[in-house]
Amino acid sequence: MKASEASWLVSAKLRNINWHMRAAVVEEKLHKLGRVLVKAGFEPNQPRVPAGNPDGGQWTSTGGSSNATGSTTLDKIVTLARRIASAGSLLDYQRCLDLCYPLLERPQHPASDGNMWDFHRCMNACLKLNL
Amino acid sequence: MNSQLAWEMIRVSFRASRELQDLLPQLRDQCSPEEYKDCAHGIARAIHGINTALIDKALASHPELESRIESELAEVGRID
Repeated sequence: MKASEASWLVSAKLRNINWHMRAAVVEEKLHKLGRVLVKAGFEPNQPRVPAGNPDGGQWTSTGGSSNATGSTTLDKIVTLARRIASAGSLLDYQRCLDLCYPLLERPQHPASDGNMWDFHRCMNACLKLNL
Repeated sequence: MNSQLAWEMIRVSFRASRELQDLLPQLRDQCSPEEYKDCAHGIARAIHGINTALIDKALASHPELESRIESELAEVGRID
């Protein structure tokens, strides 16, 4: 075997090893993403708000609706924030604010700090600070 | 930062946020919906600023204080 052929073979083997190493990294990342999605309760078949609406593209439930001061609950909003963030669609600050600020508007005892704390948790979840 | 100072930061932060939050009903009653939304977002941004600049910092130094916050909110509904 000539030196140039041997060199080419070595080079090809190194490329092959490199490819397998990179593939293993991608595979591990996909597994990790899958675990995160399962943990976040991601449901790919969940309906979305149709295009053309202000909230177009966002996940929605099949029945009922929420409003800022009534049925909006912390769990629902935080779950949505976590789900969107975990799915890889990073929400920007303004969208997180839009999502979380209704928690400050919920009826509560005048001296209560509950809404503020829930808002804090929601923003952190949305911005992935605490994930 | 010692634990006592961290708790003081948290306590004052909650108080400041509470004051800001108390504005919301007045704004809702007296402003147009557009004005209200603009001001409510401003209040939310301010509260978030306080939270990240002070509360998160205090909790980063003393994570055990988070359970104290949770228990005080569960018991009396506020941080004093």
